[in-house]
Amino acid sequence: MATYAVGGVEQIDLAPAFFTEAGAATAVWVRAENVAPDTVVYTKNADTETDLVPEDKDVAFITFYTPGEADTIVFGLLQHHPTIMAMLFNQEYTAATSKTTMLAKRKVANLAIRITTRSMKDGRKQIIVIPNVNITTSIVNNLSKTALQQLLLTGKVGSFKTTTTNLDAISIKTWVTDAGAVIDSTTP
Amino acid sequence: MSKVKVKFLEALFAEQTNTHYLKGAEVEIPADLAERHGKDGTGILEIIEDKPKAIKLDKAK
Repeated sequence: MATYAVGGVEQIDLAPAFFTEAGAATAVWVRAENVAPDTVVYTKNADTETDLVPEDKDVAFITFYTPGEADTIVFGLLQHHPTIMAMLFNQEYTAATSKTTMLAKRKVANLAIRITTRSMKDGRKQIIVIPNVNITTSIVNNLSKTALQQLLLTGKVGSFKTTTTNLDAISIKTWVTDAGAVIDSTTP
Repeated sequence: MSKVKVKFLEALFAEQTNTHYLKGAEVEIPADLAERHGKDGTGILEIIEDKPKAIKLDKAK
């Protein structure tokens, strides 16, 4: 089996969340352009373990494992795009006057995220699809002369069902060539 | 190994033979590769020359 190196971000797309593997085929993606540098972070939260050490022993008799909190994905956008804003906020946008009225009601956006990494080695890149993410959005950075206001998306990763095995899953990672072609890694 | 003629609906890179196939290419490829990516597999190619063997009909029935 071939091995790959993963790094960088070439493109991030957003779509309404879907809850089955097959949903990926029909998702309508909108590109979230101008991603803030060094902001894309996927965190896999570790499981916690608790040892039970018997009174008459000094080593654990049994260890209890508790699943960690849901994984999180965070990234910032330097650009305020009306379509993306509408996905993330409760707002009223009037295109004719370029006016956005931000409503007081908070929104948790349920979206799918597709990250295409940069080609780091051997002309290959990875496409990471996270179909079910609950995203809250904050606005960070001051309105200063030397910085841009960022939309900071913080997502909790939820699950979806796989097609053939009906198992709970969180993401789909596919390696493709630089040009986006499928790679057949079967060994002869 | 038997080969079949196929048309690629998407581009494919075959790791084992280190071969790039372009989208729209009509080529002869190994049957196992064609089967893996045919309509019952990943669906990224279609077999355009598939000659099934003649079936003998049993007229007695």
